[in-house]
Amino acid sequence: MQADHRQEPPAEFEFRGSAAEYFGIWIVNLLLSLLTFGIYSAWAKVRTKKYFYQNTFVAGRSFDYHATGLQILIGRIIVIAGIVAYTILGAIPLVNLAMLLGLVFLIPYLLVRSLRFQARMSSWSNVRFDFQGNWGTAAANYFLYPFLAALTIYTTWPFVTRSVQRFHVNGHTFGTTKMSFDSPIGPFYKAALAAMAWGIGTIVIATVVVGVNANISGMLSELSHDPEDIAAMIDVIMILLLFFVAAIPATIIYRAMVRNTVYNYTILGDGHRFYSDVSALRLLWISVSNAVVVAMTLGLMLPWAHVRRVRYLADHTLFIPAGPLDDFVGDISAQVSAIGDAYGDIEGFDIGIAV
Amino acid sequence: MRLAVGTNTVWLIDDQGQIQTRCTPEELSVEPRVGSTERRVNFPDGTLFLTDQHAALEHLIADSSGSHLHHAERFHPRLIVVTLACLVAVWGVWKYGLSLLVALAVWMTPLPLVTAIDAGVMQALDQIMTEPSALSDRDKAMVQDSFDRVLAALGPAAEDHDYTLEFRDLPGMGPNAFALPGGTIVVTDELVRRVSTDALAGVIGHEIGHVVEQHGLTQIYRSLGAFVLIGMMAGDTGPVLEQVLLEGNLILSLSYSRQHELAADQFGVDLARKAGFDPNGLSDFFDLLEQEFGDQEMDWLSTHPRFEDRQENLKSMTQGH
Repeated sequence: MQADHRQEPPAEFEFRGSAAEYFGIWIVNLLLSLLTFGIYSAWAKVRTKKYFYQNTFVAGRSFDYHATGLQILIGRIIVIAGIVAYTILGAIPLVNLAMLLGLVFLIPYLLVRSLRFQARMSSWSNVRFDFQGNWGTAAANYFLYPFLAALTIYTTWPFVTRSVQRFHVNGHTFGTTKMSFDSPIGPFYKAALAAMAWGIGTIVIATVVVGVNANISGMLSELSHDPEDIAAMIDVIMILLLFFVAAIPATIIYRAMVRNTVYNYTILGDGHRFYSDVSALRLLWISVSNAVVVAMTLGLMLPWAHVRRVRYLADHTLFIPAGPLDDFVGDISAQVSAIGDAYGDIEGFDIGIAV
Repeated sequence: MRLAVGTNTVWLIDDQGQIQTRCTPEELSVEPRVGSTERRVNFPDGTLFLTDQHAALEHLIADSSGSHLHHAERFHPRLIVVTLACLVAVWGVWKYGLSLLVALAVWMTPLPLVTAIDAGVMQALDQIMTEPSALSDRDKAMVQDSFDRVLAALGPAAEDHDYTLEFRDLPGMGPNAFALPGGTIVVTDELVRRVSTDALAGVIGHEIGHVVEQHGLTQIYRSLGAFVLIGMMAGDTGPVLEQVLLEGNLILSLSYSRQHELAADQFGVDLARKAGFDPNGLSDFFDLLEQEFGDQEMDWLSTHPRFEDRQENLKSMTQGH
């Protein structure tokens, strides 16, 4: 990140919520969702999003989330009906082939609608975001480029990641102000190498130091000869564990480094910039320790874990205005009445189901 | 900024005393409180007024909508009760609620669809895996006779599905049989050649059990239901737990599959006995399989239980009678 020539003081992202307060919201949400067989979870989602958005501040002003529970519920009913229909019809050969072809078109379309909904329902300082990407670009980014990368045995995967990030960031506007992202490919390869270093490193350590038997085919043949061979069975379990230890952290490291790059090369309007200095290893530690604490408390520490993660990310994110911050806020506020209610109608729906 | 409320009008007045915007009290939309964040008051022209003077605002607009929810969410010893209620409710939904939803979904699945699944799967299998049966007509007629007898023992429930027997040669699959959700039951040539009539009746009874108890659809809906429920209830669980939950769901659905096998075993033996066959036939069949292929050491990564457990299961049943 080069120093800004006008040297405006950057505005920090700040999360003002607390784990205790969110625990109350979360547990009441959960109880009401359980008692209504999941129907209330749509309203619960809105309440959770509002809590996190309204508590995230930049330059003294907060974000906000505007979707209603009913909108989320309708979106979910459509998606669940679709998944059920797909699963049942998918059991019929030939029909599932036709459906697979249909999905190639449907998924990019739904993705764009979902991103648009998500953006239009989000605001900062009462100015809404918007998303204008088209589904053709989405299809290229999510189907064509990954396919092409596979042809190069994934050595060109960083190019796919960069292209996907371009699609996301360049499609967004804040009010009427455009956002844009472009960067050299170097940082993406650096992230990929770091992730690979972790993956290969853990596998080497596991085989050499801990002594996990990496000879999978030998192990399996041993098992089929002598199914009572407990040692071989333990080896199979160790391989599964190794997958968790190698693959999941590698993904976390890659995403953290990509996040930094995307923020550091994103420009809002004429020259407003962002800065992110998330540490991949720190984020990895937070993710792993969160998972352990949550698992050991039957999930009850989930709100604490979530707040901890969000606070860390906010604390390592800056907004760097091109001119005086007050000018920026003033400019943005002037756009409110122009676009305030333009997005009142349902212009898309949310398809986000976690897990 | 000040918010002023009259009988027919609400004004937003700035520090200089200038009126910024106004509307009728009905047009004003005041959002419910979320945590300790500022409360949001929306004017119809898009103007947003934020305030942390919660008590004053509630008094002013004489509206406490959503304050019950906010009150219930406050960090307070009462939340311990809510937490306990949640743990009980999670257990209840997992144990009974999900089964109820799954049963409802199975019941709502239209019959023509299930029949179409059978036809489609058979078509695909015939193209990729199976060879036409090489059994003699006499053998086929004998098996068909056993099948009809076992099916007849089912009574009026036999009308619920379109039960049909199919013969196929499945090289490499050994003595085997499987059922499709619509009632198509396939037996391999090797099964017919190698096992006794009584064992065959037990196997057919087992497969009919899968169809009667709708195990196929139940498994599809159950893993789907667990996936959706966890997704909606737990929300964002973070990158590590997300993977753990996904794998856990898979291992759990395998455990349901093994439970279904045991249930079908019991059903099959019962049905074969009613039809007048030796109820030990299925048990003999497991002995044959165990001698030939050996038993697995650990079963938690398998769709079928160990033969030892299946024998145990059948024994417990005969002792019960």
